[in-house]
Amino acid sequence: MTAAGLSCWELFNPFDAEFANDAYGHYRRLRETAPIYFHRDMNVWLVSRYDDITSVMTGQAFGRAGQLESAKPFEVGSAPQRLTGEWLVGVDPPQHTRVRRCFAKTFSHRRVDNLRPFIEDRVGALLDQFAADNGGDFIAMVAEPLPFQVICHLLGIPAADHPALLEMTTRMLPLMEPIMTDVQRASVQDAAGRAVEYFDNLIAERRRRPGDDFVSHLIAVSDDYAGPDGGALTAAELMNNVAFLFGAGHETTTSVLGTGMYALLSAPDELTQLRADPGLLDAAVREIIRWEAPFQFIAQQAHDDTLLGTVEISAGQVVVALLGAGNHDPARFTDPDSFRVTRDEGPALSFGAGLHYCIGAGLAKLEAEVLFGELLRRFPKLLLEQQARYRPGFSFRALDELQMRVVLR
Amino acid sequence: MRRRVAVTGVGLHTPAGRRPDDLMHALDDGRTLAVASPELIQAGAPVTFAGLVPEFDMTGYVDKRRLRQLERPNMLGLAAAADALDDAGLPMEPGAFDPAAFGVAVGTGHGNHHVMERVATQADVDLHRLHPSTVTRIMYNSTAALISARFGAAAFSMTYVAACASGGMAIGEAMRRIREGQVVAALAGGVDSPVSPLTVAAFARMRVLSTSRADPATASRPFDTERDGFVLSEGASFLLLEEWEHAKARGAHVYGEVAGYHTNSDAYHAVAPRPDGSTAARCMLGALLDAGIEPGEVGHINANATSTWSGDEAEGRAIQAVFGAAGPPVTAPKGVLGHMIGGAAAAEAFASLRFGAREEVAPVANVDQVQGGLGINVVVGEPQAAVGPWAVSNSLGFGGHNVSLVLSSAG
Repeated sequence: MTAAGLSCWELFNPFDAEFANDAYGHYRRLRETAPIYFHRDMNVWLVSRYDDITSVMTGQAFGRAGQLESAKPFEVGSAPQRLTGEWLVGVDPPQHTRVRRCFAKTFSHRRVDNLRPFIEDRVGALLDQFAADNGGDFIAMVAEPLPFQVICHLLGIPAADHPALLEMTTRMLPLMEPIMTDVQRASVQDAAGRAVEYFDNLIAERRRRPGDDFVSHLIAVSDDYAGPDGGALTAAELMNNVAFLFGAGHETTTSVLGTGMYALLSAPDELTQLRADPGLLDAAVREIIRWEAPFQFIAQQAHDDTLLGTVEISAGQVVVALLGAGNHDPARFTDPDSFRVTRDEGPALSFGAGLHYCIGAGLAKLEAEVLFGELLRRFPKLLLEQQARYRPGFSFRALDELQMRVVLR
Repeated sequence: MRRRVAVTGVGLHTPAGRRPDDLMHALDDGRTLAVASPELIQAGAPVTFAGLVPEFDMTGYVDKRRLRQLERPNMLGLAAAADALDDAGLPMEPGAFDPAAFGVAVGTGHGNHHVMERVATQADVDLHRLHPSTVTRIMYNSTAALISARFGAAAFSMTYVAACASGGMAIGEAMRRIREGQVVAALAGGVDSPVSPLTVAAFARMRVLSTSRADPATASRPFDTERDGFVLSEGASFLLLEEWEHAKARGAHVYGEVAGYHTNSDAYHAVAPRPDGSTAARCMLGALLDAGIEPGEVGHINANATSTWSGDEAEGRAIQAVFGAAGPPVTAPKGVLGHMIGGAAAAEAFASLRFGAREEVAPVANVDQVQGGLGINVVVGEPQAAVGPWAVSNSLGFGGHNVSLVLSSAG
């Protein structure tokens, strides 16, 4: 028995089959009962207040290394290890600094800005189809294809490879969950093996024949920095993080577009207000990003004994920052469980904080802005057809399906 | 042992563009980056060309709604500070450093005073209906305040107003605070966007702006016998300064080191420099002493030289006094960049670090004939070899403010 006489699973069980349908209820109970809570069975600290989460994500005593492996080991040399071992999200300085700098150079504002015409073109084409069908499943028809096509365009992945890659990433999603079944494990193993091969080949091909794509530029930046300070990326760092960018670059954005659409449809007054003042689009996109963090937690490991508030965290312990809980913390956001397109209360935690702040934040916002801007411009009426279905699980906050109807003027 | 201060990031929004390589190419190319300004032409200003920062998309740096609250210097400064963090492999967000150990120092000669110009030159100013944000838009410290808030720099937020020495002072003072252990890192540099009809007219009235060039690309010619004044430019540049061991521990790329700093005052005249350059000479000596090196170890000098007659002459004498006739090569980036006032120093310090690293100094732009009798080694026409990593970089301002930095490109 622990806080408030509840067992640890009674207090917080993100593996409950119904968790996704009432995630914020679960978070609220935890935040109000025990905001910094050691979950004995999960063997981690759970942190659910905005300010504590910021402290964990920016604190000098915390790092990333080690926490992924400890969760669900794949043996050294296995495909998942070879694919994910050097991911930016999982490494600490000094390695993190070197890799991030190469990616930041390549993933510049200018490169993101240059994607705008392509995004506008794709949004136009996808909404043409959506209009022709008077709507349908927004996830399958718009939210999924748009970010996927954008990231493939950025990386220069030929259209012929798209279906296989989409299947590959979908099968690898359980990798991001804290627990997985044996069936999922085997599937992840197999998909990761194919991903390693695909991205190794892609990079080798760009080395042979450089183009005007992200991967070619990244290789050039990495080669440019080779020098006494050892600026270049290793082959594994290059391949792992191209793969990471690919996955992170569309999965999370798909979630944001889907949950954002759902939020707007579920709050008709807000939608009306946004329609009346398109200048609010920027703020609305920020609210969409606060409303549902596409990835729900970040795990950090304490590498020294440290205090979080008044709670002692020991070196080696893992602290799980519950981003969705922090985004709905009433101490930080006024009336946090209402969706308001006019909200102007500072940044949410969805892109993270500190050294690991999302490198693709600009791209995600741009895609959302172009899509929602065009949806409102084209369709005088947007209607929810049925309650949306959340994807089961803890890590991802995403919709499996969102049936809606659009009415042309 | 004394803490060392590394340069681990640079952010540039200058007439040469925003990429560090663009700056170096422009300096090697040796043409003044001045263009005709439609605003100056339309207003009938006495000088109609200036150095302007190429347009860029600010929305990558700040939310659209915030953007409307920013003046031009704020935008340039915020963007350059953000780029310095980005260049250092850090997020352009709070949390890159512990806020209590992270500061910002901004140099600006003109702040946002064009806002007052805009308000004052309106046809019918209604003193009861000024915009409520007028004060926050005018105040000189607005860029420092915005950078501090945007990136979580809570240890200090300072603004130095010392005309053309402002940016150098910001770098030197921030360096001291890292050296003393007050902070582990600071964004230091400066910004100015003074190219407005009134400001240009005011400078022109002092007869310090170049007017006589048919071709603006040859207007700025530091140390040349035919020089007739400087080219006014806008621009922002910031360095991320970081305690050496901290930078190494996090795997930062180190461009080099700010190893010495000194500032003093001519105590002579409201505008004119002390003609014999003796205080500027003592300023350089003070910075060398601070860095613990001898004049003979300096590989090149980055002169403030703005292309005014008396300024370049006094600085030339100061350099001669410290380094003698066989001194190191002297270059002057303002021949290319024009004078970005507060925005100049960090860009020039960065260029110096790159000159040191590649062991070659770009020539001064547009020099046909160095003024006779200066007795210094001005780089003319072709690049010259820089021997060793050490450089002295000067920022000397109207009002007698002198700043010298000693930089080293050694890792």
